Parts: sequence; C-alpha cells; structure tokens
Amino acid sequence: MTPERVLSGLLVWMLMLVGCASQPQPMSEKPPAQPATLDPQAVVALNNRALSLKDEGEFREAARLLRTGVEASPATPELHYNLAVITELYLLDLETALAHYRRYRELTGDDDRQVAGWMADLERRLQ
Amino acid sequence: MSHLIYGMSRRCRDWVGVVLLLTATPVLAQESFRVELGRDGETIGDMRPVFLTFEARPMPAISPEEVARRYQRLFDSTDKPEVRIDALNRLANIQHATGHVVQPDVEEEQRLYREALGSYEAIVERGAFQGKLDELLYQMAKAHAYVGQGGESMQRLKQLVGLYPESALVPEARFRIAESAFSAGRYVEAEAEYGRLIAGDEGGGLKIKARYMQGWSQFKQGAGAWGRSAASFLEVLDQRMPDQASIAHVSDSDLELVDDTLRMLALMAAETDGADALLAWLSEAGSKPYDYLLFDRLADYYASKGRHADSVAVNQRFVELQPGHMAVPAFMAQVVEVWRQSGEQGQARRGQAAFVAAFEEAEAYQRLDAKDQALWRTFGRELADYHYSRGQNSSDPEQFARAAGYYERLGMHDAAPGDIFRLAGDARLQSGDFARALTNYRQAAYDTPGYQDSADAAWAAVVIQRDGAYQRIDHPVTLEALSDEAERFEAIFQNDARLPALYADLANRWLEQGELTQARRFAERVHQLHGSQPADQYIAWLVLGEIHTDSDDHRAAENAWRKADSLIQSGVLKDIDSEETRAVKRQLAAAIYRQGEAAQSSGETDLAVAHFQRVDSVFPGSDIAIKGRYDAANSLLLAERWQSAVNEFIRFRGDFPEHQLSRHISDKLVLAYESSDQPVRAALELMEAARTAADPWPNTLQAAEYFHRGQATGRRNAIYQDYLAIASEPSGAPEHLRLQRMRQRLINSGVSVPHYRQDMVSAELASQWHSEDTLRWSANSALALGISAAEAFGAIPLNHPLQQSLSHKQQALALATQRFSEAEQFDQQGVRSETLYRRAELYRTLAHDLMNSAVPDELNDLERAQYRMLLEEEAYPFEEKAINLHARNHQLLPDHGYNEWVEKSLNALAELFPGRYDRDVRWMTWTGETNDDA
Repeated sequence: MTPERVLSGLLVWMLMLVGCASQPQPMSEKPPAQPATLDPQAVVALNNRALSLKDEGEFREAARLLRTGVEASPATPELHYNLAVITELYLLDLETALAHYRRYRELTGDDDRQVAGWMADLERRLQ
Repeated sequence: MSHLIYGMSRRCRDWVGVVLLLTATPVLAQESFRVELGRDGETIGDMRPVFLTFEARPMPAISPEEVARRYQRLFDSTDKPEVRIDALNRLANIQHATGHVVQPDVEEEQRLYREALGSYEAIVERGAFQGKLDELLYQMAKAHAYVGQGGESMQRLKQLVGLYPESALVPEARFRIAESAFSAGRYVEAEAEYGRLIAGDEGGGLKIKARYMQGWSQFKQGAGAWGRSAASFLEVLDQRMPDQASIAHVSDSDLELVDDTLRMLALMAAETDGADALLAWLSEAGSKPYDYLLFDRLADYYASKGRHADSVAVNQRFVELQPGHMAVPAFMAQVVEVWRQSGEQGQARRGQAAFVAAFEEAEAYQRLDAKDQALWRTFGRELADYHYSRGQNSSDPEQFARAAGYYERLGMHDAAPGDIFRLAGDARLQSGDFARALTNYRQAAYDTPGYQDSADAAWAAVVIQRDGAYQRIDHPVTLEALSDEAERFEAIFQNDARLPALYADLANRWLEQGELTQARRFAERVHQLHGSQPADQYIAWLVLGEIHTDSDDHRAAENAWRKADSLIQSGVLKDIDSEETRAVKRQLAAAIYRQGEAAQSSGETDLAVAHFQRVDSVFPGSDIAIKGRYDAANSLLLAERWQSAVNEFIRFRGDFPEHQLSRHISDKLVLAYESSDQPVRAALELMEAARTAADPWPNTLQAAEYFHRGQATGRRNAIYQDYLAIASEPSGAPEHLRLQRMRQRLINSGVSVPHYRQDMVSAELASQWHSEDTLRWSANSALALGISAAEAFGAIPLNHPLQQSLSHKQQALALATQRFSEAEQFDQQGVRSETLYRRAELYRTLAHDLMNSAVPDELNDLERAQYRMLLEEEAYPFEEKAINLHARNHQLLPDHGYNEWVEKSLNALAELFPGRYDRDVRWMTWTGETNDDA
C-alpha cells in the first residue's frame, strides 16, 4: 500500500471518528471555519504512522502526514516535535524545523533545555 | 554432197513438197521430149533442166494393159494408115496417162512407130485425110522423134506452126521446137521460141514450163543473161507460189519444177553477188512470199560447196532483214547446222546461243512450233552442259554462271524442269551466286510437281542457307531464314533422315544466340522426328538442358541432362571424350543441386536435403556433390533443425576433412550449438577451431563467452587469465571494455580478486575509453580496495613510538583515501555517500585511536594527563574532519536520498555531534503518554 493511500485511509478514518464525536449540524448552518480537530486516538495513530513512515525512509510522506495532523490537531505538541525532527534531520528544512520546535515549546510550556539548545543551534545556522 | 543436199532439202520439202530424184534416169531416145536435171555438169552447158512431162488425156475405165493389147492388135491387124495411126496414138496416150510401159519392150515400140511413119507418109502423100492435118503433122513429128529422126520431127512441127498457127497443137509444137533448140544449144533461139509460146494466147499449162525453160535458156546464155533468167525463174515461182498459203500446197507435179527453179536462182546468186544478187532481183520483181526460200536455197548452195561462212552469212542476212519472219528459227538453226558440218563447234555454239537468246522470252518461245521448241531446248541443254563441263574442268565461275543461265532458261520452258533447275542450282552454286542457286533449288524442290529428286534439291537449298548462316560462304543469311528454310523442308520431307541433324544444329545455334524459345522448339522437334539418330538426340538434350537451366526449370533440365548422360553411357555416341562426359554429369548434378536450392528457398527442407544429397549419386566425388552434402546440412541449419544440421556437418567434416568447405563448418556448428542452447559445445567447437588457427585468440575468446553462458566458469576463467596475462594495452574502447569485463568476471568468481581489482582500477584510470559498466566496475573495485585499505588502517595500532606507528597509519589512511577518491572519480553518484561515510570513519577512527593510544609508561600522572590532552588536541581536528565528512554525507540527502550510508553517518553524527544530530522522535500511546524513541 502506498503512503498516499495509507494517509487517505487514515484521514477518512479520522474524519469518521470526528463525525461520531460531534453532534449533527443543521443543514442551514454554516460549516465550521476551522479544521475539525482530531480526537486523541486519531492523533496517536497519525503520529505513529508518520514515524513508521520515517523508519521506512519515507520522510516526505511522514512530514506531510504530520503536517496534516498539525493542521487537524495543532495543539498536539508531539506532532510539532516529530515534524520538527523529521524536517531538520531528513528534509534539511531548518526553518520549518525551527518553527515547529518553537510551537512545540509553546504548547508544552516546558522549559525543555535540550530543545531550546537545538533551537539555538538552528537559529545560528539560519543566520 | 548428196547427203548434205538431202539434209538441207528436207526443209524445202516441208515448204513446197519437192522430192528430188536421187537416182539418175537413163536418157531415152526421145530426148527432145525429156530433159533431166539433178546431174549438173561442170559448166552451164552441161546443166540440164528437170524432165518435163505433158498432160495426158483421161484413161478408159478398163485396164490400160487390156486397152493397149487391143490397140496393138488393131495396129497389127489393119492396113489402113488412118487406123494404124490412130491405134498408135492411143497406145501412146495410154502409156502417158498411166505412166506404165504397156509395150512389151522398146524395140517393139520402135517397130510400131517405124511402121506408123509409113502410114503417116501415105496419108500426107495421098493429100486426103479425114482428120485434121495439124494433128497428123504433130503425130508424124512425134513418130520421127521416137524413132530417132529429130530433124524430120522438127520439120513436121515447124510445118504445123507455119501451116496451122491457130491449131491447138501450136503451143506444144512451139515448146518442142524450143526444146529442140535448147537441146541443140541454140539458147537464144530457144529463149525466143519459149517467149513466143508464153506470149501466145494458147498454151495453158505449157506456159509455166516454157517460162521455166526460158529461164534455163537465158541461164545457158551466160551471166549476162542471168538477170533475165532470174526474172523468168521468179515468174515461174510467182505462178506456183503466188502467196504464203500456196507454198505449202505445191502439187507433186510441180515439186521438181519449183525445186529446180529455186536451185537455179541460188546458183546464179552464188555465182554473182550472193544475197545481194537475190536482193537486187527481188528489188526489181517486188516482194515475194517465198523470198525466204531463195535465201535458204542460196545458203544451202553455199554449204554444199563448202562455203560455210557464206552460207551462214546468207542465213544471218535474212534474219537481219526480216527478224520477225516465221522462217527465222529455221535460218538460225541452219547456221548451227552449217557450222557443225564444217567442224566449227565454237561457231556452232555461238549459233546455238543466238538461237536460244532469240527465243528465250516466253512470247517468242511460244511462237516457235513444237519442232523448233524442241530444238531450242536441245540447243539450250547442249550449251548448258557444255559450259558446266568447262566449269568443272577449269573451275571458272563464269562458265558455271553461263551454264546456270541456260539451265534456268531451259527450266522455264520444260514441262518437267526438276532436274534442270537442280542443275541450274548446282551451276549457280559453283559460280558463287548463292542467291540464285537457292532460287533454282527451291524451284526444283517445291515448284516442280512429281520431281523424284525434289528432296535432294530442297536439301541443297537448306545447305546454302545453312552455309550462309554459318558464314561458310559469302551469303549472309539470318538464322531465322535458315529456320524457315528448314521448316519448309520439313513440311514436305518430314521423314528425311537429314532433318534431325539439321534441327539439332539449329537448336544449338539458336541457343548460342540466346533465343531460347527457338532453340527449344527445334530441340524438341528432334525428338519428334522419325529417324533421329542418337547423336542428334544427344545435341537436342544438351540444348534442352541449357534452356531449362536458364529458365530455372531444373527438374526438366535434370531430365534432359540425364537423357544425354544415358546416351553417352550406352556407347552409341562417338567422339565423346571423358571431359565432355564429365561436363554432362556436372550439368546433371547442377540441375539436381538447383532443385535443392529451390526447395530450400521455398522452405521444403526435407526435399532440399534429398536433392542435395542425391547429387552425389549422379556425380560421386565431384565438387558439386560435396557441395550438395554441405548444403544439405546448411538447409537443415536454415530450417533451424539444429541437431540434424550438427549431425550432417560433423559427418561431412569426417568424410571431407581437408575440403575447404570443412573450414566453415566450425562456425556453423557453433551457430547450431548456440541456437540449440548448447553453449559449452559451441565453446568446445571454437576451442577446437582455435587449435589450428593462426591466431587462436578470436575463437578462444568467443569460446570463453560461450563457457560463460554455459556457466562453465572454470574454463572461462582460465581463458580470461591466460588472455589478461598476455593482453597488451587496448587499442580501442571495445578491447578496453572486454578486458575490464574479464577482470570483473574474474573478481566475481573470486579469482585473484585484489589483483584484478587493482588491474581494473589502474586500467580504467589509464584508459581514455570508459563505459557505465567499466566505471561502475572500477568504482566498486576501488571502493573494495579502499575498504580493504581502511580495514588495514584500522588494524594498525598506535604504539610507541607513536610517531612511527602513526606514520604507518597515516600511510594506510592515505591509501584508503586514495582508493575512495578513485571510486568517487569513477562513479561519484554511485559511491559518493559510501565513500564520504568511509572517509569520515577513517578520520573518526584515527581520532579515536589517537585518543586511545597507549600512554608511555614512563610518564607520571601529570605528564600522562598532559599527554592525553595533547592527544585530544591532536585527535580533535580528525574528529572535526570526520564530523564534517559525515555532515557532507548528510547533506546529500536532498539529491541522493536516504540510504544506509547517510543513515550510518547520521548515527555517527549523533555520537560525534549529539547537540545537532542526536534526535529521538516521539511515539504516542493511547493513554496520551509520549515515548521518546531512545
């Protein structure tokens, strides 16, 4: 199964989950302006699937899946962290990596010194 | 002389019915009443006119003998003068009327007249006569004459004329008086007396005789009177032959008269001016219907006197004067006859030639009567035969040509001219006039019904055309014309034994000209004709063989060649040498071979093989038979019947090991083995071929390739090793590629791997020719060599003295680095990531080994600490370099993608530079916990 099909299947699955969790909306109401959020299980599945793709060397697919997850679940710090690692090490997209490390820290509020060091190194390398 | 005259007079007899008396009649007593000619004397005076008879009264109904007997009895029994005279007259009349001598004999008759004279005298003396005195005088004159008293007889006649001028007996009396004068040689008197008779009113039939005798009388007077004589004689002829029709109807009684008249005119002309004299007399007398008789008689006269030229001149003169006269053929024939009689054969032939020429045209010839036409043919044939004979004796073409001309003219007027035209053809042939000879032969052969030798004549025509066509004679003839002639011959003489040979020859000639349709037609006819001989059939089969071969009908060609070969083998042919025999067999074999080729082209392999293989049966051991065997195998090869082909080729090579075709078998066997998936056999065949080749390597290397395909690696490698050991620098890309491939395969086989890797790298570095394969193979070899060098580098411990061991290690490092660089040089794309990793690891190892190198034992703790710091300082640049190289490898990710060497570099970087590269992704659990991927 290709990564694209896996991702599509996953998204469908995720959307079903989201649909089940939400109440039906009247037809006359406007659709939500923000993407539907993923439930935690879907986020887990998405994150782990992206990491499996990374182990298989499918870095771009992994990153794209993570971006999807980030859009759907922007508040999940793991998604930002993993997306930052993959874009830094395997896609050499330092700016994206820096942004997601930064978002990760914002979401976690954690004073992760290690990540802070990485961000400092990235900022230095991007200068 | 008499014979000559007779001969000439024959024509005169035809014209006027004159018959000459050849036997001399004795002169009787009553000569004054009977004159003979035909026995000319030496002079004119000796000459005599012909005997003249008087008209007689009609005879009584009873027999003359009985009447005569009664009158004689009356004469003897009576004594009366009148009676006796009358009886005597009647006796004489009976005798004259019948022409028979009714008196017992002359003496008895004379007795009667002597006794009668007494009676006459008595009557005259008595003076009284119951009858007419003129008659009595006449009878007395006659009696006197009869008893030989000429003078008294004339006296009585003159008395009669004088006393009784009106008497009916006067003309006769005058005639007798004139005769008497003539006989006595008193020619002037005779002329005058004859003239009186002629001038008189009476005389009847006597006048013509008187005119004749007047002519004689004038003639007797000499040449001065010959003009008058000629006029008299012409008058005689005028009366007897007044027109052309009368000439042929002169009465028997006038024949001698006319003949002698003509003779006298001829005689006088001959003695004077010849033909001119005749012309002069005729000029005075006017044109005469019988004039040609005068010329003829003159010519005869000259001939009789031996004056042949004069005779011919007269004949020719008449022809010139009257060329259209009906008598011209006779005159011209007489010229020939005169010359012949004179022995002048040449002149005679010229006369014949003139005769033939004068009447050769159809119209002129048709005007000739049958006799002259026969004469014309006789002359023509004699002339033709004469010239032909001369031609044979002298080989003079002109003689043959003249002979041919006569034969041809004869042919036109011959009812059955077959032989004549054939002779004409022969003569034309001898004269070199082949075209006319051809015409003559054709006429004899095809235009002469019933000619028994027509086949030979027709064949002669064929021979001329044949010799002309074959340029044996100067008679240009096309082969087509010869063929037409031959077919014309066949149409009539189809069973002629000469025809098959001709047709066989024609077939051959047409074949030489490339006209195959014609050649085939004649060749096939040879076999259809009856009586064709084996030699003819043989030629025809040869021709048909060539034709069928040319038209690619090799089956028919085989049949033809086989028939020809059978004839040779039967022994019926002569002069067939072994070379020709072999040539026929070669053709037969070729025909079979071509059938094999055709079958092969049409995909009929089995048939092709059968044909090819049976070539040997007709011409064993021949080149074509051997080639047949070879091509049988080839057919199997083309049909991709590999094993059968292999078997045939091996059998062929076994049978003909030294044959040049065997040299090519190896290639074919290789193909068969290769195509039948037997590469090792193909390789072995090539190795066998290489054994005897001047340069064994092409076959050997090809064998190596087949060994390779057949997975006979050991045999292949042995060849590669041998070749690489002696191979010189490659002269081109293919050779370089081949050598590198050999090295690669040896490396793959594990044979002297380091050695061939080094050779490969060196060769690729030195070569100006590269391929993807050679670069890849060389890169892999360099990489492998680099790895080995790296392993050697890693194995070198850094011991004391450090400087020395470090130097070794650095050398090893340099070598490994060089190999990795070479690998990158050959295939940067393919090996870049690995070499970066391995190079980085070299420096990482060096840094590690430096930092872990043994500290000298003699150092104290401080010194050991300082020493270690120094080592770290020394190692740090190498570690930096290692990090840098791994990082460069990491940077290849966008372009080269993720691979194990990038992964390994990332792992190494994670250790060497964890702050930048040591990252753990975070797995999530359903419980919401996050697991760092440690």
